[in-house]
Amino acid sequence: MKLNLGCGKEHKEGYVNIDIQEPCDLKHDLRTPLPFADDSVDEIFSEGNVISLFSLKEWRDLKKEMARVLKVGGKLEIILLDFEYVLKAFLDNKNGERWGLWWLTIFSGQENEYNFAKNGFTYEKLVADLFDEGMVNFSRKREIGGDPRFIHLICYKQSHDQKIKETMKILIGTPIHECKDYAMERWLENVSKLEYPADFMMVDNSPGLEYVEKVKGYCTKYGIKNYKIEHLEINQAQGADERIGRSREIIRQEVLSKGYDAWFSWECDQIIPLNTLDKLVQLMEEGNFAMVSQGSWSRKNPANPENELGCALIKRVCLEKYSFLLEEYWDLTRSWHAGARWFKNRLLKGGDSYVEICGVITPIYHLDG
Amino acid sequence: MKILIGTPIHICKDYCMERWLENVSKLEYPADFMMVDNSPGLEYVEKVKGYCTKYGIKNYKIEHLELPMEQGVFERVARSREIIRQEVLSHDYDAWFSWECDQLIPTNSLGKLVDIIKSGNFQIVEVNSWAREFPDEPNTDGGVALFKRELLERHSFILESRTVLGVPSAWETGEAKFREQAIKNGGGYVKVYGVISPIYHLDK
Repeated sequence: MKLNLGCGKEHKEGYVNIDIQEPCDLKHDLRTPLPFADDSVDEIFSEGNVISLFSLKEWRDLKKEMARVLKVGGKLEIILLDFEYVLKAFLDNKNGERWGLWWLTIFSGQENEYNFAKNGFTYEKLVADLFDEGMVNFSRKREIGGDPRFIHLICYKQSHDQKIKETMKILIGTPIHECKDYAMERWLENVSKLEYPADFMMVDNSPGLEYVEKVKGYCTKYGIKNYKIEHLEINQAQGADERIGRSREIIRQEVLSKGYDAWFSWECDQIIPLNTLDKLVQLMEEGNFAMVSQGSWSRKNPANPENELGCALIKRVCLEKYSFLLEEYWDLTRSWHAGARWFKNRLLKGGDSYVEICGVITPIYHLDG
Repeated sequence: MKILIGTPIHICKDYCMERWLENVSKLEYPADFMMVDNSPGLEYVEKVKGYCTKYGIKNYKIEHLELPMEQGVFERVARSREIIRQEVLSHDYDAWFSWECDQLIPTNSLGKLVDIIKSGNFQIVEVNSWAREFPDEPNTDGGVALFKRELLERHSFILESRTVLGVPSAWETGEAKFREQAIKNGGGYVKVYGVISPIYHLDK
């Protein structure tokens, strides 16, 4: 099925010609949801500067609707005025037509209640708006019919998952210690099956190098090849918070130095669904959040959800600003949660935003020795 | 999404009421508005009506709940919320926007919350403010939150049900119960930090 939105008198063969005024195949107000099912339309066409007739909110709704009804791979073709060109033409009084052609081109003919322009686009603005709705592979035909006023854009709908996988490079980074060996093998099996493509780094802070070798054996067993393991030798008397803080700092440096877009902080005692990272990425992109943290369950108080970076996706931009060195935990007493709380507080005070979710990714098993 | 802004009010919050109602009057997302006054007597209802007139708020409803003052704030707030809940259920609202009358928020807040709740199909979206007692501590206790109707269909705010759970009365027990239920329902909840900013949590 193909749609011609706001067809006016220009009906296209083989298309459902839609307009608020007859004659048309389907009389419909485009300010309301399109009467078609999700993923049901092969092609959408719109010309005659139709989309400039909608207010900002109406356009936001309409572009969402177009993306909704298009099939994955479906084509969107829009022909409309280049707002920048027309404004320049007006200011330059091009061809002596300031109050004739160019005024009318900016504000529309106004011959009826529907033909009033409320919006304007450049090619770049239109691409940005449609990219937000999952459209990709943009191309532009310049000067339709030799008329420089118009831009002619073609793009296609891509699945959200595909878009995400191409846009975000992620490092799974985890401090490990031999005291977690009770969970390590099950966790590495879980890592090996995660669906989202990501690199993987562990920082072992156990005493000596023996545990590194054991973990390498687990990785071999579960076919994990794309990984890096570092060892941090640290006085074990320094306590878990120090060991974890310094291990996280090594991971942070890896994210920053290797061009990763985000760090997936995943504790080695948490077993999660295989699509967890996909969901976190999707949420992060939809809300443009700096961090998305999924709660697990507190082992000490099983009814109490915990949100302490055990399963959290953190954007690179946060790591550029804040480190994990414990010296900087200036206003919090040492505890398991001090690092995570300090990090979140710094995010907020720095003007970034984050979300904590609970019950969205389920089940999560927080293993205990 | 058809939304009811529903807020328990009390004369003890008069220090912020006028500023808050001005904020309400400017909210961009179209929503209905209900207040439940649990002050002693009816005088405060009239005063609030005056504020509404001053700020051009017309699409509102105000109910009065007379309770013995010795019952305490948790009882007053819970029973007021229960009246709001019944309004949501009986008038086909899709969600309740819980907005405490001492919090000033940006005028586009509700639109943002609607986008978030839809994007993840969550049951609750809660917004952080800052704890007044500990200004460095972000606080999400339902002061600014959007609750989906299906959650309200299953659970009430009356305090008897909390004591059955063995949870002592406190500001946060009601919210904790709703979060727990959101997880059981399968949609889960989300707490957003820094997304709605700035938020001013007013104090005397």
